[in-house]
Amino acid sequence: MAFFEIKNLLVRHKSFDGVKTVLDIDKLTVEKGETYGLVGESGQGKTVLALTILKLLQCPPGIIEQGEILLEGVNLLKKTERSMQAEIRGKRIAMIFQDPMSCLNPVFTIKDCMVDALRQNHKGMSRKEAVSQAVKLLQEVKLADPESTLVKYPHQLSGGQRQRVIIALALCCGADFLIADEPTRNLDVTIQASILKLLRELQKKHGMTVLFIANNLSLVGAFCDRVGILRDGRIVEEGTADQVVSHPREEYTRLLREACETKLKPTDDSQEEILLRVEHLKKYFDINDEVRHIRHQSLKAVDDVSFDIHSGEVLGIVGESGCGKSTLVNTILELFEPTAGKVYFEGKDIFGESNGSQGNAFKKNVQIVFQDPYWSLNPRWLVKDIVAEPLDVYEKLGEAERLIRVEELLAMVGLPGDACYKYPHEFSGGERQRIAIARSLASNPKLVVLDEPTSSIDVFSQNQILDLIKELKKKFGLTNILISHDLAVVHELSNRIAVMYLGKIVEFGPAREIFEHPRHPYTQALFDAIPRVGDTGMEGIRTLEGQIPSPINPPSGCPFHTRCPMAQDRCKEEVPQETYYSERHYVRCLLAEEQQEKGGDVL
Amino acid sequence: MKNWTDSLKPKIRSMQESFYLLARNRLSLFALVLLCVIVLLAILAPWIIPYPQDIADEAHIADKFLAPSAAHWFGTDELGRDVFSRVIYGGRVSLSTAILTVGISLLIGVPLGAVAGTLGGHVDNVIMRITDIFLSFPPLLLAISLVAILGSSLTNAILAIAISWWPWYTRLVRGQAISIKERKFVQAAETIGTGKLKIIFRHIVPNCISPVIVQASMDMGGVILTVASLSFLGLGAKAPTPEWGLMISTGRTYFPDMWWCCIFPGLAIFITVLCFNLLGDAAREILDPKTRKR
Amino acid sequence: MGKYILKRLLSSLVVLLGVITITFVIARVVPSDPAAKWAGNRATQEQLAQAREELGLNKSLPEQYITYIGQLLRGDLGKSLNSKQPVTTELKQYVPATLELVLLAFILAILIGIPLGIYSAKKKDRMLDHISRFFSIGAVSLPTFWVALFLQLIFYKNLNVLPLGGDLSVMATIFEERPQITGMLLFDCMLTGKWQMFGDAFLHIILPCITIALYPIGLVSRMTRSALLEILNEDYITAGRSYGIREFKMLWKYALKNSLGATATDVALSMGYTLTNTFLVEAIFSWPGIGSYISKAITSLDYPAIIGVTIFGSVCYIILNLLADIIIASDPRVRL
Repeated sequence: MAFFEIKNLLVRHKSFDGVKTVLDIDKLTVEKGETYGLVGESGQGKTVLALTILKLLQCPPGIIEQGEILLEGVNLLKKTERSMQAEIRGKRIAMIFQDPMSCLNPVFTIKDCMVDALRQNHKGMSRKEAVSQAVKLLQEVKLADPESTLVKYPHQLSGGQRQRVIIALALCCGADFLIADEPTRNLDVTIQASILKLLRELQKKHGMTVLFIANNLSLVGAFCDRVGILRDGRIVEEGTADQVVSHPREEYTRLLREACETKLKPTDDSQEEILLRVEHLKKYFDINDEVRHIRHQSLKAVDDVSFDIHSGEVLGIVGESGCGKSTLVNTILELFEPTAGKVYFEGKDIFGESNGSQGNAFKKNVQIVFQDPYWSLNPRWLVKDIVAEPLDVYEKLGEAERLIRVEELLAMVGLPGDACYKYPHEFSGGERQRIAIARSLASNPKLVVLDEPTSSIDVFSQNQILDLIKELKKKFGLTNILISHDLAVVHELSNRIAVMYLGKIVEFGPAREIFEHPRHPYTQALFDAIPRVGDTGMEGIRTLEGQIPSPINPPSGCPFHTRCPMAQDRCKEEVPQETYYSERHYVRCLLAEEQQEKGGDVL
Repeated sequence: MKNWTDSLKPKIRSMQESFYLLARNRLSLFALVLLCVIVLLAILAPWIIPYPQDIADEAHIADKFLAPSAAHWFGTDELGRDVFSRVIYGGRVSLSTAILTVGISLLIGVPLGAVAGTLGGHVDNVIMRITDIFLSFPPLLLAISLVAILGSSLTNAILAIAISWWPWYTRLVRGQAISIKERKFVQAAETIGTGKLKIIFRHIVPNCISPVIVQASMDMGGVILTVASLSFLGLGAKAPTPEWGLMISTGRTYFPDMWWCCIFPGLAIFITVLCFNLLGDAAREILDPKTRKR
Repeated sequence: MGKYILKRLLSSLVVLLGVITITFVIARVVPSDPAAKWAGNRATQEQLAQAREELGLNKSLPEQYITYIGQLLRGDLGKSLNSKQPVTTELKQYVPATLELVLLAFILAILIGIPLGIYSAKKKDRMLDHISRFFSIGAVSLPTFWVALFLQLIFYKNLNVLPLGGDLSVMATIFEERPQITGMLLFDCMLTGKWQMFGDAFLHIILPCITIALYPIGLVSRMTRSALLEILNEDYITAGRSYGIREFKMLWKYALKNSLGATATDVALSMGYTLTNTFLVEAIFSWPGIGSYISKAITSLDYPAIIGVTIFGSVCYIILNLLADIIIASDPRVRL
């Protein structure tokens, strides 16, 4: 008898579009002590499965048609709500949810939550015992200061800290089966790795069985013993981690794998002519929070950034969330008022001119494609109006002429002409992103900013969108700024890369050089935090300790010194300057400065 | 022409979906049907009521205070007028005043809220302080003192209620506008160079209209109640207008003996307002993206 | 926190000034001849001239405005046309009875409305939910003044178990002196130990209290239900369940505390509605409060009294909203 088993499970979902099958699993077994990884993209039924196991799925609209979910031979689906609560939830099966922001109750302190969970699952435990047990658990999940963390409210903790608290909460109950539903999804890559290491450690220590749900194949490959691929509610492929990752049988698995791989990118076709020059750009946000007693401070989202973009090149900007990459482009695009600095487009200062014809010419020439094509298209507009929005501003066209232009643009991005009379929600994510691209091209721009263009669409469409971007770039001689946290995408498209940390560029240079020899310790950490495809086990993953400091009060000296594995005393005081390796490749690191002074080359 | 029908198709589909969601709850469906009947009765009132002359000041003293019977379903009032005819015709009065009042409030409230939410800064501050001030009067009290000074009439009541009602829409739309402003399509429009006015009225307003519709449908009920209240206090419709609140107010003198003069107009108010509220409730659930999520 | 309250207090003062300005506009700027309104329909030439003098109509509007504010600060709301008494004095006389009624109705609204909303949310789409929803939607759809009449019809005319109106029957006042301490009759009877009179007064307050409470009950229970439903859908509630926390605790401890902010605002709003409802039904129940006072003022077009009640009601309402906001501010999320 297997430890955990699902047999012939069929879950449906009823809505206006009729009854849809969400889960259809013939057989899934997890042995005791094993880590089973379930991989699939969003919308494939992963979370539904987790909720069904705990009988927390909302019915209706969900319908559990048939099947058995067996935990040591006992069918959970047959249990009553009361006995699920009293015997199973928490005590046998615990769950870690994907979004640490939303699954801690905001009005209770960590102590309240943990004490409740502890006393619920351990009969007769006194409040005092529960508190001391909570401290122990927080130590176990390696939170730096357990006592002070206990009295905090969730919003006072960072994402990584919250996820640790949630893991501690799951441990509270003493369950031997853990369901981890994308536990690292909304975390930064460097934090992600340390959470995974922690999970692995705890699993060994407590002898837990883990069902690990994720959307990234390389992550699961490294973390799990066996892997199942979930698509449209069915398990399409299953096997040991090594088998599935290295020798995928299914087309879908292959695509998932490709999405994690870094490919070698095309040649450099940039010209010498400088299209956009950013000089000492700063964007500070004023923080005035009376309740928290923070006054007249500023959040340095972009702190003294300078770079050039040559015509025809693609500049990739990489960094974790909160590093200021989005603020940087939004300031360049004049969505925010700059605090200081200048931006020249084709030699003209764009901030200097008031919103006259000059400003309009700039807007006409610079367009953006946003990350999430669902929110970047007005849901109440027809596609023809969405695509024509720039035309309406810059060219006054008659209705017939306008329609012809829109159809041309749609054809260019590979959409049929009858898409004109549809609303955005009638399209898939990939198609919507095509519409967004069509709109960005309508005013014949010279520079198109791509803000995470593929990160919220499925793997099937991702490659096609990337190909489309490459094709259009060649056809129109476009220049691009590409923002992404996904190194694979950056690698595939960019000629040069800027790595940002806490509002500053820490490394800048040709993509190939940076990928082959990352120089800055942060760049290295960023690359090492993601398991490479085909890695098994967690040994290859290096982690960064500590939290990302707040940009309101950035560390003195080198901003990275709080987490840098190679930090020295002087890093706390001196601000590193640019150290050039070649004409176009520099880092800001004191160690690099030192090395160069000594005449050495590599860190 | 083909283009026009093409652009209509998705709208019809979305309406069908709304109807599907509405019909899941039988109570809301019932409210919808009943409300359709009420509206139809109100529109056709002059042609279908049994005693059309009774809506005016005509008196048949001989027939006064007849209890409900086959000839007079709801009995007759102090002037011998048929209460049933007057109640049905009263729907016409109440519905049209409610539509006018809500319409005026929307016309003032929605643009102000959209501008305040989108532009922010000082404009927002000024508009919202004014809104706050209007919202600091307890419901009805501002309307009472306004009509008292302006002189009581149905028109003044409509004006007074609209003046005390618009701030609710401003507040609602502002909140929506602030969240919609953050959506990427608005930022996209800004990078494209679309003008501020077009952004406010073509991008933001259409996207915050759903909760406004819900609110407006509930407010139809609220306004009917308020107009009736004002009339009851002697600050709204004037005799012989067959206004429900006024009918209750007049009938009160002969209450509780001639109970039918008060009870039936009150029932009419109750049923109409109930339908609007049930529908508003259903609409809120339908338009909630959480319910709509497939 | 202290700073926030101070700031909120200041903004309340600004709002108050705005409210006063609007009443000034209504009373002095909107009418073509404010003195005519102020002196009443049957005023003689001398009375008109005197009213003009009192209101300072010969001065410019800004000057009038400043005098007006000065008068309000001294608590001077003008003289009632009906009784020739200062409106402030009369308000003092009528407020306790209304306060008693409103407080009782308000307590009723919270005691019934909140549990009803909670259980409705808990049993969503089951029979209990349908019944309670229908009840609460029905409660906010009823014309209050009509409910008053309807209740009188049933409990006075048909069943004859409750009195028609007033706050005390004539019989009760024959044997015992009416106590005069706070002006709130029930409360005074309790303080003086006049239990027989208390019983009589209690019978009198039942119908007006239920009538006034009906709308707020519906409002509070609906708002509580929708606030809770939203919260019960949150991830942290699912998470709590997955740790095996008992449902009862989830509902009453976890979810309710989260909905506190939303509920506080609604309770303040519903207090506004109870106040409004008293204007409509006190006259029907011959309840000796400001509702009856304003009804009388409306029929006799007693403008100083109407404006006086408007200012008074708004001040109460502003204070209530201030309290609600302070409760909301004690929610830790506000400090985000």
